[in-house]
Amino acid sequence: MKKRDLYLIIGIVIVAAVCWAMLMLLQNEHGDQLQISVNQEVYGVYNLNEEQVIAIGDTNVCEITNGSAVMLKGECPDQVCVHSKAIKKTGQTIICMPNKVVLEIIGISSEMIDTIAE
Amino acid sequence: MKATKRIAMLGLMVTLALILSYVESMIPVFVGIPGIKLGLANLVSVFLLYRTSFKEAVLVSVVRILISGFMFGNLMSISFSMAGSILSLLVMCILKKINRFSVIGVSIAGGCMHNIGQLIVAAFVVQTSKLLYYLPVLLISGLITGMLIGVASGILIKRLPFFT
Repeated sequence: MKKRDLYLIIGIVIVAAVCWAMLMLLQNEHGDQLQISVNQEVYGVYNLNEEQVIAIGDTNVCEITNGSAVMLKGECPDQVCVHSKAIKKTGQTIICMPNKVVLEIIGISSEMIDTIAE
Repeated sequence: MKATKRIAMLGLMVTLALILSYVESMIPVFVGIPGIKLGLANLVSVFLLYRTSFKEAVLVSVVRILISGFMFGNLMSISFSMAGSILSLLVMCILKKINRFSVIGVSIAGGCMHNIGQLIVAAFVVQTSKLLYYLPVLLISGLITGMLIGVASGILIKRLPFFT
């Protein structure tokens, strides 16, 4: 029965690889806008090429530098958002789950795919 | 096994799972990616699944998650844990029943489903399809931790004198 386990492992690795490949293909190198949503409502859209610091409500602060965005501060117990790597490609996100804040890089390609999907 | 002894043993299992989940919370694993854990408390779940029954495994898990949630977490963390554990236990029970996989395979599936369950809850909360970006990572992590827990559980199932 150990052999069947191996098939399972290979199967899972293949599914993971396929998902990853699909996601990689859908990403675009040049995202140039940061969309911030709070609780599923768009809070604002900002130019990725403009250096700026944005306060989101009174719980999070994000910063745009060097064409990428990071979460500077978050009032949340896990701090996952603050430790996340900077995002710059379309589709990439930083999410602060407890505060329901989503930072997402958008660009033409991502929007078109979403409209087609709808 | 007498009913009172069974109740006492199950209580012990809940405590064990509680301690395991507390200890693993102190071990930092991949701070960057949310939801990545060792899943040590699943040692108890898998052990119970094989040594007693699906019902006992679910019972102990649910009680443990509730207690742990009230002590250390919040409603959100309870929902995530609950969704992941229930889904994981359901799938593990089915895989165990069809009898084609060893403990390790079952545990691997359990680990993956646990993460998928949590991802589903997250999708409801945050409502971005972008959460799918985490799927490959969570699948691989579930596979690895599932394998480790499976190996350890296999040994425990064979050697521990509880619930014979």
